[in-house]
Amino acid sequence: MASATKLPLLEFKAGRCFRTTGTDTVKPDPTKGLVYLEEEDGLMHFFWKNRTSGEIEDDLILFPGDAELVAVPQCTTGRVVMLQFKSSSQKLFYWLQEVSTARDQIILQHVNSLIHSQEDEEEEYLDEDAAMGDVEAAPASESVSAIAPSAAFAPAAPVSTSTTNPTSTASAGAAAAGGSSLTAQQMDQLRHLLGGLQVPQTAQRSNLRLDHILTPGAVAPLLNNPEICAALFPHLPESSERTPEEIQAIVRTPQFSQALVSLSTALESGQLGPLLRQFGLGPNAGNGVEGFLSAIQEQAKKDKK
Amino acid sequence: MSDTGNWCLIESDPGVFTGLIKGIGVQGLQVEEIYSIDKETLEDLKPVHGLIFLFKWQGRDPASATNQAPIEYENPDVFFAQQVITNACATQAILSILLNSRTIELGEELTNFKAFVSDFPAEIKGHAISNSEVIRAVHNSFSRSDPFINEMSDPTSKEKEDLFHFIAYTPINGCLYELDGLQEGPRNHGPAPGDSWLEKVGPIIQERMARYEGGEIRFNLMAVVDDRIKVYQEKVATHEEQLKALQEKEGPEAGAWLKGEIENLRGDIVKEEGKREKQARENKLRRHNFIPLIYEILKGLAQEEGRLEGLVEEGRTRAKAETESAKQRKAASAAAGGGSEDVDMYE
Repeated sequence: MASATKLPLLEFKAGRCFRTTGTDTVKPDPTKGLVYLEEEDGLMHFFWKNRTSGEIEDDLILFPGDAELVAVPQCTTGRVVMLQFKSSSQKLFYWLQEVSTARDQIILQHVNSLIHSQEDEEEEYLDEDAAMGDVEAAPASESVSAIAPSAAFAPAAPVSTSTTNPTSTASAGAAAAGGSSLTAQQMDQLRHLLGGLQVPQTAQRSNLRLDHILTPGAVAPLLNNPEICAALFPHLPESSERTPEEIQAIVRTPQFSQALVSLSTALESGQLGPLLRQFGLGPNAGNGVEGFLSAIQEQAKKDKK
Repeated sequence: MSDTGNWCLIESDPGVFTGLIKGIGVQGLQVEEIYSIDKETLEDLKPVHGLIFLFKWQGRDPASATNQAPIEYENPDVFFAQQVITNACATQAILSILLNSRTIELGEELTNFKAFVSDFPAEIKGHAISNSEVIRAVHNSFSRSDPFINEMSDPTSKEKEDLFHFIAYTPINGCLYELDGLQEGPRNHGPAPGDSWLEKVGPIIQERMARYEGGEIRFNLMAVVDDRIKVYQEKVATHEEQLKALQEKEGPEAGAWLKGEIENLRGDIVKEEGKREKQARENKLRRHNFIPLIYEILKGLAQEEGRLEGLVEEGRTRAKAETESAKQRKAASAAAGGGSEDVDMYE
């Protein structure tokens, strides 16, 4: 077989994504991995190696022009890529784990040019190889996958019904607060990744937002309860009167609706775990609007007991 | 244009813009939204220092095709800054008007800024705006309080990055200028002495709107004008003097018309005061962090047996209906060759 000293033509850090059975949705697997291309016996091999165990788990032979690595258009961050074959319907999904997104495009181009012109001399790639060197030189990613619990990725999965998966408890934010050493940049990456991982044709998000629930009509009856009003007063803007009428007026403002919409967006992004802990909510609260609501309900039940 | 730095999105709202102008130390001005550019509307608002034309558009600016007023590359009398960061565009439009005015009292901060950048080329002027701590701090003080809003795309505009743009129209040295931060320089629309630029600008803006017709564009026109209450008060004072003179000549019953005018102006002042109060309140609400309030309301609902469950059920139905109708609208607008959803935010 190939000599041990042989250098890969190209490598980049990437994890794998797997299709959730029965859906068109892919979920990223948090395992750290490395994709690399090597020529063996005149054939181009596409490898995926588990960076934790060191085991090669994917080994595919790519024939010139038969395969293509493309960004998944439904992934808004562009970090989920798909290796597709012209001669078969096989598709393999990966998510880029390089710290910097700056070279994502170059990686794709480079892989594709290797696949398309395997006969070409290597000099042609010298320039790009230099660029790739940069990527490798970037601060070694104890990349996003460093936050081990796979549940951390759960919010990314499009929820097909209106109830969230009760086992996917840890939100990204909560995981970060739980002592893992994520840098802000990695958090950002994760956040982008979480935001971008849906394949919309079949994924039916509930699209439930807090402004669908907290309509002025829904809040009004609550304001007959002086105890609840007293709990709400401290959270009104300073200059506001402390009256039920004022609360009702505020609930009708576009600014309040806007706040409901943006909080919903933030909840869906799964990044609010630490913030929500301030309210004594369970870890599930960071898991989308539905998770937030059910955490509040659980809390209320507990309080009653 | 890509470096949004720490510039937050702010709402395109006359109350926000008025607050912004005050915040950077310029007194005696306010911003009014105008819904038509007919002569009467503008006449009523005089003196007008400039117009800000904001719009959202997709694709190329058809204006660059033909029929353009010439660009003046080197005119030391015109302050022109190229737009280097998108989120600052509203602020930049306002500055284009303020810094080109011969009559507005700029205040210390802006006077210094103007002197500092006066010799810079247009692009560096744009960078100077984006790097100004004071301007940025004021701009950002009008952003929404939510700590996370910058980092995420608006859910309603997820599919397409909305593009916003502004153009300022203002008279400089007796000519009407178009200051567009995406152009290479200011465009001179020709001589327009005194207030006549207001008549000249109407057809120019209308023609511009017409060129976009059918392309799903949202327009927004704002005027930078003198403090309305001060204007009204001065008019009242003048009318009262006239009335006094008239009554001395013709007796206490004379001048019914003037009395009526004064009455009307007092009414306008009350209206304006009410409007300001409302704007001040809105600005406070914009800055308020509503998360604790939202949490407490939801908690209150959850404590009352079954209330929250019921509301969530209703909410789901509402969300579903909304998704459905959005789909239909999208299909309809795709059929019509249109674009994306309405978003009431400007950069």
